[in-house]
Amino acid sequence: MDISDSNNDVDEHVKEYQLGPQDIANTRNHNIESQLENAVDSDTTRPSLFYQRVDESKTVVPGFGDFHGYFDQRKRKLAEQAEQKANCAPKYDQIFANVVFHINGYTQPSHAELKLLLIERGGRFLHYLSKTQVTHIIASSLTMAKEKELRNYKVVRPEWVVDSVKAERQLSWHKYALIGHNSTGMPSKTANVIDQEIGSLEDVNWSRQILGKPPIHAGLSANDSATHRLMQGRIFSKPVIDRFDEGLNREWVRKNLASDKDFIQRYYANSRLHHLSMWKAEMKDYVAKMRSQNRTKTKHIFDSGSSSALGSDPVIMHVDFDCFFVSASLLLHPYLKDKPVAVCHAQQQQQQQQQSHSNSDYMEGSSSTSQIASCNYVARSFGVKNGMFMGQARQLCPGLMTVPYQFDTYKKISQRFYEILTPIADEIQAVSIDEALLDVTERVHRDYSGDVKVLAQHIRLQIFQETKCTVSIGIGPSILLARVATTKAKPDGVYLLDVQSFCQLDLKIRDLPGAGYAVEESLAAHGIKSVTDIRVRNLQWLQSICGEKTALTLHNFSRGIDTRKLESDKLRQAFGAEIGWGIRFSSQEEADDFIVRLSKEVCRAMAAAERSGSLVTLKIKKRREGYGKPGKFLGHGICDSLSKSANLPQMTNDSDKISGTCIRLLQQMAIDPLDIRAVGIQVQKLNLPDNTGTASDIGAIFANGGKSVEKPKPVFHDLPTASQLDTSVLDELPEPIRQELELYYYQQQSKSNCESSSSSSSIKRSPNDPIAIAKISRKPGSTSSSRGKRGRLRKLAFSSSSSTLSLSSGKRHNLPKQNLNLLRAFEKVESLDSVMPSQMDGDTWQNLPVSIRRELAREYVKAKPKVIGKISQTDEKLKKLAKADGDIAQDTDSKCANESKNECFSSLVPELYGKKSYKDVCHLIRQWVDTFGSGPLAEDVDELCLYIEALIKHRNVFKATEIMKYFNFCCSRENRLVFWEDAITKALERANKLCEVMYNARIKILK
Amino acid sequence: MLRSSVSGNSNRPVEITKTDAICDFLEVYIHSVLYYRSAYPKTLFEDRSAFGILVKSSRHPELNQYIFDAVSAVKTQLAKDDAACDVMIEIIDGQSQPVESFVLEIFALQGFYESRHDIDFRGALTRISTLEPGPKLSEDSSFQVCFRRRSGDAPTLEKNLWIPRLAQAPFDSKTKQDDFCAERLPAAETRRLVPLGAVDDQELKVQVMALLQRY
Repeated sequence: MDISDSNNDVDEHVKEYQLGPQDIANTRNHNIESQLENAVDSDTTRPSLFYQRVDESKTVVPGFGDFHGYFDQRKRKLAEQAEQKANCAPKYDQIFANVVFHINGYTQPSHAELKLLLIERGGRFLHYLSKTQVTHIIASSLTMAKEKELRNYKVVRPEWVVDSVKAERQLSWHKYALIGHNSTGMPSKTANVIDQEIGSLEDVNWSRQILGKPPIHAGLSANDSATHRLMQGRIFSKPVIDRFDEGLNREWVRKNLASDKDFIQRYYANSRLHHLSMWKAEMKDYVAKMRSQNRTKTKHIFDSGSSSALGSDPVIMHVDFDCFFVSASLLLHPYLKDKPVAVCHAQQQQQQQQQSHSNSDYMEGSSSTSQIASCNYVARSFGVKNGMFMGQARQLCPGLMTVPYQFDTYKKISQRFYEILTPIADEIQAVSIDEALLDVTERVHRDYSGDVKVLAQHIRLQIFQETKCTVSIGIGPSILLARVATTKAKPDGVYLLDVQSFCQLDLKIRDLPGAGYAVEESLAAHGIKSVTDIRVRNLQWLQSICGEKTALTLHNFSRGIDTRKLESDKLRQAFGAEIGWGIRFSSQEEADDFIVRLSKEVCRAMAAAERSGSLVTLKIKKRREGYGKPGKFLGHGICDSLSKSANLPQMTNDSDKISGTCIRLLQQMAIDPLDIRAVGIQVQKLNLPDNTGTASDIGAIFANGGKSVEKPKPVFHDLPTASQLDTSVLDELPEPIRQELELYYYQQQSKSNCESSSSSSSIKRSPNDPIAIAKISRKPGSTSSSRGKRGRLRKLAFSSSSSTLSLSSGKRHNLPKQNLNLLRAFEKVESLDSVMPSQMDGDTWQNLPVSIRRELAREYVKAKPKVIGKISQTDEKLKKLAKADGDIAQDTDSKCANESKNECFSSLVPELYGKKSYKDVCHLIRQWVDTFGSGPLAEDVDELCLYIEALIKHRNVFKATEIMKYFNFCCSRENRLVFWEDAITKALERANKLCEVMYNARIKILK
Repeated sequence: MLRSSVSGNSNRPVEITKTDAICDFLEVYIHSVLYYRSAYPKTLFEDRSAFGILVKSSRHPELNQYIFDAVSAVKTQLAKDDAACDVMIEIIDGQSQPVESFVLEIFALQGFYESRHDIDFRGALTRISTLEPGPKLSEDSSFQVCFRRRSGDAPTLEKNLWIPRLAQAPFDSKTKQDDFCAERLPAAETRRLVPLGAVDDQELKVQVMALLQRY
């Protein structure tokens, strides 16, 4: 931020340097002489750590233009100097061309020597680490933090440079990698092994191609792809690099590796997860298509949006097949019906073998790592669960039968399932192949006179007749409750759950959707095990444990509140493919080749859907350091997930473009191809599908269009539920904001009627008139909540406020009305906080709760002795009031008289809407400016002015100026100045008025 | 004369009182002002270390003694239970008109000083060096240290009773007798307030600012 001086011509002899506070702290133990030299010699090529020379006499505050501007200039200059140096140096082979390096910390040979070696040979040196530019970081040792930060970069030991110079070619950096190997200074063992294995390939051009990445990060040139083709022939004759002794070189394993040509096709044919996700997408499209047809047929005009406005509770149904895979598979094997059955990849033969030799050793099977996709209820009674490894399950239930996947059958049944459901539901969301969420609010009232159970039984019967599979149905007023109800309904039943009974259920945290292992763990660490435990905790406490969003969700869910809507007509947002099994690359080439094939797969799906996108994300799972052979054969094991994305210049579904981008992204990630364990490609930011369809298609698009118009409605994610609302705060809000809020709560109420029945509800209100929330408890002139006056500060308003806090701000708010002459106010009291009671009328006073009255009286009495002669009349009034309250005030009176002298200096630090520290206030201001892009409310500006004045009177002009500067800075970003200039001028003007009185001088802020 | 208490953390006693700390700062502050505002030739000053940073200190024994006495006088005031006062360093021209002023507002309760406030003091000291240079001072210009008690009210112009320390500053031929700032105040529009720093704590409140001539 620009402090101060407008005058730019600095006297030559006054060298002016600025020290940041942190820098100063560092200097303690440093040689002062050398610092001084550094600082004075502004042409030094070394970056001065302690002093930053600053243009003219501008104070540097982090985050401001001057600082960056300065550093940009500096970097440019350094680059030029490096170039000059390189130019006058003798010509060497440019072996480091395309290497952009940065040297970190102490190195042997020294920093300067290394730099010279590299620059003379075509390298580019970065003084300041720029992670987007740098290709290699040279360091001898790194701190833990640095190591963590830089683990995705090529951090090499200086020996790499020296050895490369000796060899007169750029050696593979892997041997010299610092991170991930023991940093003892010796090439690590693993690297050596790899080196030997590829030893035969080690010829100058190829070594770089195989282990290192091509040094230019700009995709493959024509030359490179020639090598690429050549390579493929060679690689297939080469043994696969098998670092963890996984038996990768066995013939059939080789065929199952990702480097095999047909791998993707074979993988997809066998992956249940792939089928599930594919079908989910397909089903969604299918449902959307059916809905649009239905709509034109039956002329449905109801939409869930409008249905809720009628005032009836939504009725959500969750329809779910009972162990879908098993039931479907059993259609072909009806004789297995009463036996424990599981669906998994385990071989049928193996199982039969076990059946025939029922006494033989089952332990052989117990090592099977095939996962159970689904098991029937007989099997579940043995303790077998979905997702279990087959081996484990066999131990629990030796007689467990396995049936293979029958993807065709599943698909057929699933299609039938949706065909039945779609016409029944008002809204339908295809959750997955075997479950769907239905909004049947309209349907129930129209055709079933409100008896939802009849409808549910009707659906169950119909599905069973047509598919011979049973479904369970959970019913509730929201998605959450319907889902929970389903768990109660299973198997083969119907369950109706309302909020009251939900609150009485003893649910585990895991039972709530969205709460996974991590959340459960972190809550368990704080003694929270069940949903009931969550209910008794407040939101802030939860948020401190598991993050803002999760906590809010949990908080609401624990009370049975779920405001999510069905996503019936949502278009597909992304296309992607991710494979995490069998990924073992021996070289960069193989990895790149695999990406090419995978992106073809993605593009095919996109082409089929006639969509294209512009954001490509590459997801990589990288073997975590220190973990070798994964638990599951050829699985990904324990990994670090990395992802990187890039925007394409135009919408595309061309596989060449996408794979090219992905290969570049992979290069940027700088991952050893041997460590890649999973590869995923995702394309987002999709265009809308071409609407060259039939009339019904257009109808669908119309419907979508209508929906998307609705969407931009204000959504206040951070708002409390109506039951938590402090209505007095609502009353204090300016009219338009209050209306907005009331409308919001009105809509919320009609969507979920949970608040009124929720146990935490603190306000009674008639269910027919939600607006009454706001109206009922409106009190005359309540002083305690004026801090919530500003729309932008909604959050503050709703956070449970202690009476002291709101009191002090209330006082400040009252001030300007009674006394515009700040000078006079100032003469009377140092702290404005103590003026307030005199402006309060008796009625208001009487209406306040006793505790607040006492506190007010105490506050006032504290400040009184100073002002006693001046505000005599009001003072008497207050005395009377204080007396009425008993002797407490009197006691405090005498006590405070002694303290008063000190009190006046150390009186409360002024605060802006409850924020005191510079950081908090700045944050608040920034949010304010960001929110009100088209100019502030006058009263907000007023409040800020008051705050700044209070600071000046509090004898902290420094903070006041800093805050004004920050304010100015916030406003001058993004051309906001037009709307905010008045506010800045006003704040400055008022501050200056005060300064003139106090110091006969004015503050200046550069604009 | 900079005492050892401020000359680096190794020598520094673990516990010093707030009053001591403020007076240490005041002393450094005066030296710095004199150096950076070119009240005396730059060659008069030598490098010292205080509050963990490099500062300038006068080498002239008489000048040092004057400053030391002024600081001691402030200290006796601060040592009283009412530890609230303002100190002003005024650079004055030949006609004893103030050219620039540097204000230090002090409020300190009894008790030990916490070294975490060092950073604010350091900040204030370094910011002196970032001020734009003042007008060229005439040969006969000098400086004086003024002092005022504070009742707790914020200062206003009417009550602006600065008491200059009357002992004569070295290199100065003139003696100032009647120094009521309020009577010879320049217009506010021409004076510029540059806050240099502040310590804002419950028990220790210090504000440092410069009042420059040019706006």
